[in-house]
Amino acid sequence: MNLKVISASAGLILILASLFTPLTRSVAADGSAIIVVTGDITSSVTWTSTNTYLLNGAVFVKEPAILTIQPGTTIKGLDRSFLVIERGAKLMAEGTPAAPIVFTSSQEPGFRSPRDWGGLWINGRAPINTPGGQELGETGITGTYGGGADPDPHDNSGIIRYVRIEFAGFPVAPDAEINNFTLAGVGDGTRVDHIHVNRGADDGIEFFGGTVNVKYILATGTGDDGFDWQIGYVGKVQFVVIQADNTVDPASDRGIEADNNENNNNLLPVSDPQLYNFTIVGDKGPGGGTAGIVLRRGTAGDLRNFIVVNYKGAGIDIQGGVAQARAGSGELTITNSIFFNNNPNFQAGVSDLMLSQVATILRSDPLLRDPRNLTAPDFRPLEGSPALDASNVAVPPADGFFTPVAFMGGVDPQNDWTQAAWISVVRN
Amino acid sequence: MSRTLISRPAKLILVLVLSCLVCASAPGSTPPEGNDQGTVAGVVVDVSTNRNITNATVMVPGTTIAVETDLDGNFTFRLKPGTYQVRVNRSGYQEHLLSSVIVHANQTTGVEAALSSEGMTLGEVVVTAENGGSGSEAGLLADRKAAGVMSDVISAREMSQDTSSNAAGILQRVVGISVVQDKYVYVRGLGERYSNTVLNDSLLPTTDPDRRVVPMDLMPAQMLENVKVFKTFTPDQPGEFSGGLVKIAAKDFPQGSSLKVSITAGANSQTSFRDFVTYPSDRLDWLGFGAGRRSLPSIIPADERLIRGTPFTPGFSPQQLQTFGRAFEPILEPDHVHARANQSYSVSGGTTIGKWGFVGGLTYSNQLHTLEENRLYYVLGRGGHLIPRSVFASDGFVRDNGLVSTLQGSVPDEFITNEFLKGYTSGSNAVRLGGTANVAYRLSTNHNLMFKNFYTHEGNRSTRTYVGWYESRGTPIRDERLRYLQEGIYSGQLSGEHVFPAFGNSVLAWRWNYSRATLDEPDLRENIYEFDQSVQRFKFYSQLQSSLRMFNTMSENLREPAVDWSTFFFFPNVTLNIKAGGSFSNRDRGFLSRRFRFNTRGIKGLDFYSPAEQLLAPGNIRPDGFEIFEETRQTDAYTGRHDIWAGYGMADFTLRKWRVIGGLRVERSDQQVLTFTPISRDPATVTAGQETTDLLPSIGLVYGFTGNINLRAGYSQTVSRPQFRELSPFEFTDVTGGPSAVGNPNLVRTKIRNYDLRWEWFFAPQKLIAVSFFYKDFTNPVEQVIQPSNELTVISYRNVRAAKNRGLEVEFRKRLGALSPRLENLSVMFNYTYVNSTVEIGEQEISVVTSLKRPLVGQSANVLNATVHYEIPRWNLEARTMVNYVGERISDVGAYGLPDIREKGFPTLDLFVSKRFLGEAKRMEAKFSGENLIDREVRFNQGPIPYWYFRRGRSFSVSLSYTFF
Repeated sequence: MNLKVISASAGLILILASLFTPLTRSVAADGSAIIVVTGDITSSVTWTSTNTYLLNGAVFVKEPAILTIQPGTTIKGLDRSFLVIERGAKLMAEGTPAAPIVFTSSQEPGFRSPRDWGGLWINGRAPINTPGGQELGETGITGTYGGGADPDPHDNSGIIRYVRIEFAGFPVAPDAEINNFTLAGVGDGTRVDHIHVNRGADDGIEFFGGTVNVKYILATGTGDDGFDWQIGYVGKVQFVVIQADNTVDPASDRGIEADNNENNNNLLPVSDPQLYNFTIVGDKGPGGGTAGIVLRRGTAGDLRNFIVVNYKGAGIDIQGGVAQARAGSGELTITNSIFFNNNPNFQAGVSDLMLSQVATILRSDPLLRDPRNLTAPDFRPLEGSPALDASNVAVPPADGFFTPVAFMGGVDPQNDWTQAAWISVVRN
Repeated sequence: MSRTLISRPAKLILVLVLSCLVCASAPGSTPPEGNDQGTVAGVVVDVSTNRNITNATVMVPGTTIAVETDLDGNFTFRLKPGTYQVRVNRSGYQEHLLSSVIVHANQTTGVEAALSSEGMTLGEVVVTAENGGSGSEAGLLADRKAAGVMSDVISAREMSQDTSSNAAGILQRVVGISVVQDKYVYVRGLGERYSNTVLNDSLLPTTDPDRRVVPMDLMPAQMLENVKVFKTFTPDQPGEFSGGLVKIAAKDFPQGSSLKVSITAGANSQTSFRDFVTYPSDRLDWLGFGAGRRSLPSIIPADERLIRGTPFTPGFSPQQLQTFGRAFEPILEPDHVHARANQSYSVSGGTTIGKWGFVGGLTYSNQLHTLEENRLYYVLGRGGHLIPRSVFASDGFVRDNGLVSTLQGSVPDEFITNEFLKGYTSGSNAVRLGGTANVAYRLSTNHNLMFKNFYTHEGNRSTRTYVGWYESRGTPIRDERLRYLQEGIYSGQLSGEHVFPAFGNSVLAWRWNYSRATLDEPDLRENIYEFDQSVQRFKFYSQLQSSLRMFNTMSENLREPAVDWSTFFFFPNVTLNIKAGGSFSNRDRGFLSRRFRFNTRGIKGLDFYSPAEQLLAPGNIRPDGFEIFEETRQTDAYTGRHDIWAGYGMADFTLRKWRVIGGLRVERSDQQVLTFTPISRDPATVTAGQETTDLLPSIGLVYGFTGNINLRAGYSQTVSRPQFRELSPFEFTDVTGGPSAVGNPNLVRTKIRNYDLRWEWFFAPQKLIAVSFFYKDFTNPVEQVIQPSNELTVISYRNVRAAKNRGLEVEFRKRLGALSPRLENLSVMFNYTYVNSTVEIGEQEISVVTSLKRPLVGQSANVLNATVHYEIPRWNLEARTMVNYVGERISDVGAYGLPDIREKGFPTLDLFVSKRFLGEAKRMEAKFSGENLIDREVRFNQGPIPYWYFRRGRSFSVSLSYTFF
């Protein structure tokens, strides 16, 4: 047999040392400096745009360190690497439309693919509904999140703006792929907007509880769900665009997958986000892709101004007695939206649950320009689209977070944020 | 085997057990001067029938004494005080020798001798040593009567009349023992971490990567001489002791020459002659050595991960990865065959040549077993009710148990059918090999050397499929897993025993033991398909363990030199036995796992709806199709080392009716685990471990009311040390299919205070009533906690606040001849254990365990055994019926407010019949056994609802054995 039965530790260390080969180069072909980042960051540090940062393994930013990343900085992840911002630490990653911050694969363009590296993971001290208020990320590999007995809903993990996250999703544990971008117990003192997640395994963006509000999220070709929440997420969200690409993974799944708590559907606080203006585009080609929106395991929430098109499976499904009961009681609502060309648009039984709301839901073609284009998509509704009929549009609360809109879907046809230069929809 | 030295008050036997061969000359006993004579009174019985033997000759060499037993098998004579040999002869029986019978002035020494017939040899009943043969029940009862500690024993005879073929099944018959998962021994309700196993007095390594204990199902019963369970600690035993110490003695030395072969054919009611799920076998599977061809293809680099290189790091090109990926064996799907009968063979024998003695045996068995299991996973749903989450149960099961309405609301009606609900079906083909080879050399009457070898091996090819509702995907899934597991334990021991008559009959015993356990689990393959509702077909699912190819190896080595010295002092009315010794044990373990999966790099030309062997065929393994991808993490490897230095001294002091056994053991333990930091490229290790020194006192008090009634009381302090994997700070690979586990480097050892009280009455040979109470108080017990995580639930370990364990044991063995002559051939054995334990978990950080105070996991409040034995001597026929009942117990701890999972009480009924025939010597024996005749469903419930149900099926076997000489 080839696998040696190891009895002495020395032999094992030798084998492992070669199994997990150290770096051989530290200067990039173009001459810019390559900084290899390994281990914990325990004091504040700034990553500058003149360098390329190479994540090597698990990199944790520990409390009270602040990791500041200059606009225009590229961070490349080696396989199995990921970046975790621990509770009490901060990530100040404020890119600009002209100079985004890019987290990407360490492979050459053309050879990149999902799972090339892990992802970006933020842990905060905001409430989650797990008993005890704390939980391990990926069985402990990505740290601990939640505020425990004394959570802070206004916890601040920093600023993350104009950031692109590509080709992530390495399984950090067997059966446990890490999401491209995870916000775990993150409080609403944190600012998160203008994020593009592209071609990563697992979910595009996932919330584990927390209160953080997010805006302008584009998820293209994620291996699992585009937008996922669970264990008591209660934030506000506006302007989200999800484009499925079944060729990324035969298991690629849902536009939105939303839970309260998978072990006990009744735990408090209940997941109950307010969501305005989503465009969710499925893929009818071979490979993955099942449903547009699956609300289950007891979640609540309010969904407004959604466009959900082109799913091989249902446009929306509400699963499990607790979530269905919430839909019946008005804790889980979806109104002022368009479902078109899904199979079916409403899973059997769902329309019965939401009779009062169904009247505001259209099943006509939203006339999106080129939503299935996998390299240069255009999610804007054409003139005459029902998405542009202001009488169909729900007006978001004027609470300082939500932007007033007169359209459904994730993009403003007059000013499409997904067409900006910081976004890059590439397949490899 | 170095036997324990035992002494007794003057009224009982003091037997100095030496493993010598048929020896004739008396050890040099020097009777002290005395005026008053003492009395020796005894009984001679037939070891297999329990009948008393009349007209047996009892002689004391060196004296003129030679008497015959009376009609009831009794004899008596008087002698001057001293230590004597007593020889018992009867035509048709083998000679029996009691080597050290101590006679005190004006007192009576009780003696019993169990003879075996000449035709009976190794493998059936071994009657070898001097105190009645440690393989016989009568001899073992005498052992118990004389023992300074509380123990329970099972003889080779009982094992040969048990329906179980391995030590786990055998141990189930012992009072206070329950067997969990068919292999882990729980003594007095305490988990397997609280018991320890020794073979021929040496510790054994384990094949279980998660535990320290030896899976007892690996020990073939035919190779064992006897199994003893010690429930109280004495300083000459390992200090990691609280529930009990299981002492296995492998087959010992022949009385003369013998050779026996046996052949067994068997069937299982739900397996044999039916459809059997398996997968293509390898050339050597029938021998249990099928790992070879399934091992990692030689083309795969042993020291480099299979991953694409980057501009910054080395790796492999897509073309190389294609070559590697195509090298894996393309067998991925189960096969169906017709199950044949189970079979097993054994041969054993022994002989003596001059001063040399040889004994050896070989066993082989090849068994098929089909299991159909139904499992449902729950979540707290609407109104706080348990609602099914995933349903891997058959449609018939769901309907029979009235679960349809429970499923509705979670599972769409169209999937509550026999097409989508099939439960688990698994077929395992276990091939076991075992061998013993022992050589002894008798230097002189007082000096013996022994070399003992024991090997046991199992190769198990198992295939598992299930179809059921998988809530996480909102659709049914189908899973197929092919597995091969090869385990082996070797133990080699060189030992010697030296008697020094000139120094008060001092005995020096030493042993040097090397043992090794290996586990090899090559190429575990698993594929998952999910039902695509849009096209109504099953489609390959690329997540979880799908397309997995996993390779695990583990080995553990244990070296243990030890020495024991013992001597006796005789004074008027007082016997003093001093014993001292030391040992060192060095255990090391290495575990390595490599996991690979196939990822889709593109979907061109792939039909995800095609079966696995077609979809993952070599042609589809290409840079734009499936590409091999190594998921091995550094935590998939660890090494551990544990050294224990031990020294002890103890005294056994007898004064008239009182006996005090006390002493102290000192153990220094140095334990280290090296794990590798997760996901990091640095081969830096994380070391967890601790060095501790413990003083472990023990004191026992025995009061003999009369010659046959003892009252025993004991107190001892013992420890339980964390196991290797519990100390490692990172997630451990789950090898055997459960949730992931993360160790805790901050664990400290548990200290246990043990209190015991026992009343026992040996009212005749083979007749016993015993009642015991015990109380155990744990400081810093290690318990599992359940930690929430976004992916898998995590089991971790904490020193929790406290645990207490208390209970009562009752044991009864009797032949019913005394009640009525008609019942003379009937004997009954009964034992019952009541245990009440509580463990207080207390508040833990990051834990979602539901009950913070509960009984210990795996502890049944009630365990009961009853055996009825009937024989018709003139037909050479024996029959035995065995009933075992294990009461309800917690099997898994609930979390998130979900209730604990409990295994319902489970009864078994087994039957055994044997008949000996062929000529005067009755050389042929036919046996029939029926196992699990009630075949009750094994039921695990979560709260009131079925969680995991299955049946084992009834097993029957017929065997023939022939004794050549």
